[in-house]
Amino acid sequence: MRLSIASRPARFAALAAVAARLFLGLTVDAPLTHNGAWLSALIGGLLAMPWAFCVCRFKPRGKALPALLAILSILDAAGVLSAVTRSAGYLALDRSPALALLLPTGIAALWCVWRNGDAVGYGAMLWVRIATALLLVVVLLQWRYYRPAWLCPILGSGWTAILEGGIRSAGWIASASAVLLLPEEQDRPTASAALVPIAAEISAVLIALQQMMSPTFLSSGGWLARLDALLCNGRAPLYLQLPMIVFWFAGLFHLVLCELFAGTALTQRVFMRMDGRIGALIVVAAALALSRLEALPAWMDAVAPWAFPAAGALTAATMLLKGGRSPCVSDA
Amino acid sequence: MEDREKRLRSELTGALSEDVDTFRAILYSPVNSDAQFRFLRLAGVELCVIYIEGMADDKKISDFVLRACAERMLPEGVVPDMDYLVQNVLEIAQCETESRVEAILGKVVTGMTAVLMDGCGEAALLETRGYPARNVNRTTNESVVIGAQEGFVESLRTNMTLLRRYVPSPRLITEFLEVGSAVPCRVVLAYLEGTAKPEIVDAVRSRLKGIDAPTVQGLGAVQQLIEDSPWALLPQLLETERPDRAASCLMEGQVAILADNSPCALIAPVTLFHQLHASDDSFARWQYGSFLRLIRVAGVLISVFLPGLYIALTDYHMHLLPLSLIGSIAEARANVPFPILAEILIMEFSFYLINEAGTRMPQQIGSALGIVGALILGQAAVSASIISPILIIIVAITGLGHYAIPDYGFGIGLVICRLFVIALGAALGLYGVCLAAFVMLISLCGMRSVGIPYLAPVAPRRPHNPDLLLRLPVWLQRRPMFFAASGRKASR
Repeated sequence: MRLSIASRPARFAALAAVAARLFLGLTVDAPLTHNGAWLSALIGGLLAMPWAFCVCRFKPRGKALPALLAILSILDAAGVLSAVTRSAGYLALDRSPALALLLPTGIAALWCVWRNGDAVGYGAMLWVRIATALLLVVVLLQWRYYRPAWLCPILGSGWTAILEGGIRSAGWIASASAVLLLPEEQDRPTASAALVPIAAEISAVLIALQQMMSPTFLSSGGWLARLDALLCNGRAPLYLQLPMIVFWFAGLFHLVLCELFAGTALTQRVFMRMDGRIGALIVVAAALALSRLEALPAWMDAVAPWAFPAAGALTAATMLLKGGRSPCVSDA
Repeated sequence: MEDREKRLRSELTGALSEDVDTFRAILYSPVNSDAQFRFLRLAGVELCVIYIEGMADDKKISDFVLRACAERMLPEGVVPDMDYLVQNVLEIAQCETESRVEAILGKVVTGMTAVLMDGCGEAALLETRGYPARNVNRTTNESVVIGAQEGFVESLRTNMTLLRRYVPSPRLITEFLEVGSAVPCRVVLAYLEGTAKPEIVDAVRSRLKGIDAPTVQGLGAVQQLIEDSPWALLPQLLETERPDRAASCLMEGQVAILADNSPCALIAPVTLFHQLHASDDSFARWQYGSFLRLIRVAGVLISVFLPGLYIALTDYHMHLLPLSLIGSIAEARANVPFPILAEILIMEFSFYLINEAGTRMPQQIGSALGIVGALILGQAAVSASIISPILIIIVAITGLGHYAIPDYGFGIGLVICRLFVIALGAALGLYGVCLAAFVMLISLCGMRSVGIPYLAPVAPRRPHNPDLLLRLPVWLQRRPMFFAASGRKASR
C-alpha cells in the first residue's frame, strides 16, 4: 500500500494540524511568552512561510529532508499523544493507567492512517468547518465573559521570549505541515504555502480568545495547571466546557493523525519498498513508545528551538546542491 | 453427470428425437413434472414445444403456438423450415432463434417457450412468460405523505415498465445481464445515455459482469458483491423500492440496477447525503423539504450520539450538567441496581427486540406487541426499579431519531455506530465519544461508492445543486450533479 495525498486535502490537513499545534504549544506545552503568545504564533507563521513555499513549489530532492521531517513529525506526534493522555486523565480518568488511555488513540490513528491520505485530508477539511461553527457558537454564548484587558501587557515576557516562541512555533509548523511535502502534483503550490500564515492567524485568534477568558498568570504553573486554566474556561458557565472539551480533543486527534500520516508517508519515501500498512504500524508503535518516555517533554523542549533552523537549512542545502523542481519520490 | 454437462454444452443436432432426449435428460424429465414436451405436426414436419408449466403462460402457448401450428394451411409444395415457422406461423411478437442447448434452457427455465423442429439445428424461442406475480402496490418501507405511492414488485419486467413510465425517454437504456454461474439471476442495468457518465456505467457493468458467485439471490447479494468497501458499516449503494425515486436518480446521472425477484432498485453511485433524502423532499415546496431534511439530520445525530453522550456525561462529567438535572438523574437512579451502561444496553436490546418482533409478527397480533412494549418495558421496568425513567426518555428519543432515517440499511449501520459510541463513552467518557466521532468521520471520508467519494460534494468539494442538506428552490437547481456527464441533467 502506497500512502499518498492530493494537494487540496493536504492543505486542509496541514491547516488543521498547524493551528492545533501552535495553540497546544503556546498555551500548554511551553507558555514562555505569556500574553505575547499570539504574537509568537504570527511570527512563527511568517518565519515558516518561505520554507513552506520552497517545499511546496520546488519539492526538494533527496531523502534527507523527508527523513528529518519524518523524525520531527513522529517525535511531535508522541508529544501530542502524551498531551491527549494527560488531558483524558485530567478530565475524568485519573485512575486509569496511562496505557489504557493511550492505546485507543493509537489504534484509532493507525486505523485512520490506513484509510490513506485523502481520508485524512478531507476529514480535516470537515473538521475545519465544524470547528468554525463550534467556535462561533462558543464565542456567541460566552461573549460577555471575555475580558480584553487581560490581553495586557501585550508583549508578555518581552520581545526576546516572543521571538524564541516564534522560532519554536516555526519548528512546530515544520513538523505539523510536513504533509505538504507529500502531494506529487504541482498545482497551485503558492496556495499551499499561504495556509501557514492563515493557520498561524487562526491560532493567534484562538490564543487571544483563551487569554481573554482566564488571565495568563493563572496558567504559569505546571502542565496540568495550564490545561486546567484552558479547559475550565474562566468564569463562563460550566456547561460551556463541553464544546471546549470537544474542540480540544478533536483538534488534538486531527493533529496526531496528520503527523502520524506524514511521518509514515515520509518514512515510506525514505524506504521505498516499505508497505504503507506496516510502516504505519511501526510509526504508530514508535510514537506510542516515545510518548511513554519520561524524558520526552525534556527532549521536545530541547528540540523545539532547533527544529525550524534544521529543517530550513536542510531544505536550502538540498535545493542548492541538487536543484529543485522535482518530486522527492523520483529518486527511487 | 459428465454426460449431462456434455449435453448442456452441445448444440442442437437437427434430429428431433435426439434433441428432445437431450432436453429431457437435462431437465430430469419425467421426474421433473413441470417440464412439458408437447409434440405436434406442421405440414408433415414434426415439432416439439418445450416449456415449464407455471412459468410460461398456458393460454399464450395454446392460442398462439399450438393453434397457430394446427390451423395454418401451408401453400402447395412448401416444406416448412425454422425461418418459415417464425415468420409465417408463430403468432408471438417476441421471437428469436438459438442453437446452443445451454442458452435455450436458460430461457426456457425463465418462462420462455422453445419450439424444436425435426431436421432443423435451431430452436425458436418465444416470449411466453406468464408466471403469477404481485400487482403493483403501495410501498411498505419508504412511505411518503405526498407524491407517488406505487412501489417496485418482484417481476423484473413490471419494474422496467414502471421505470420507463417515469422516464419516457428514448435515452433510457436497459441492459440485460446474467449474474451467477450455477443458478443465473437476470439483472438489468438502467441508465440515461448522455446523462450518466460512461466511466461510471462501465464501472458498474464490469463489476456486475465480474461477479463469479455460483448463486446470486436478488439485489441484496448483488449489492454485497459489487460495493467498494464490503467491510464498511454503511451501505455504499442506495436501495429504493420507489420507481419515482429511481427515476429521479437516473435523471441525476446515476445508474439503477434491477433484478428478478427483487422488489427494489439499487442506485449507484450515492453519497451520504442521498441516504438522508426522501422522495417527498422533492415533491414538497423547498422550504418544507429543507426543514424536513434538517429534522432528519438532527435525528441521525441524536440516534448516533445521544446514549453515548448520556453515559459519558452522567458517568464521568457530571459537573457539565445543570445542577437541577443532576438532581433529577440522581433521584431517578437512586433505586436502580445496575450501572448506567447495563441500563442502556438492556433498553437498547429490548428496543430492538420489540422492533424485530414487530417486523416478523403476523399483523393480526401486532397490537399485542405495543401492549407488551409499553407495559413491560415502560411502566413495569420503571416500577420494578430496573430502569430509570430518564433513560426511557433517552432511549425513546434515540428510537425516534432512528426512525427518521429514510434508508433501512443505513439505519441499521448507524445503530452499530451507536453501540460503538456507547462502548467508548462508557469506557472513556467524553474522550471516548470524541474518539468514536473522529474515527467515524475519517472512515466516512475514506469511503467510496463506485469510485465516487462518499462525502462529496462537501469533502471533497464538487460542483453541485443546492440540494444536499438544505434544498433551495427548483429553479436554482440547474447544475448536473458532479457524477453526471457534463451537460444538462435531464434533457430529452
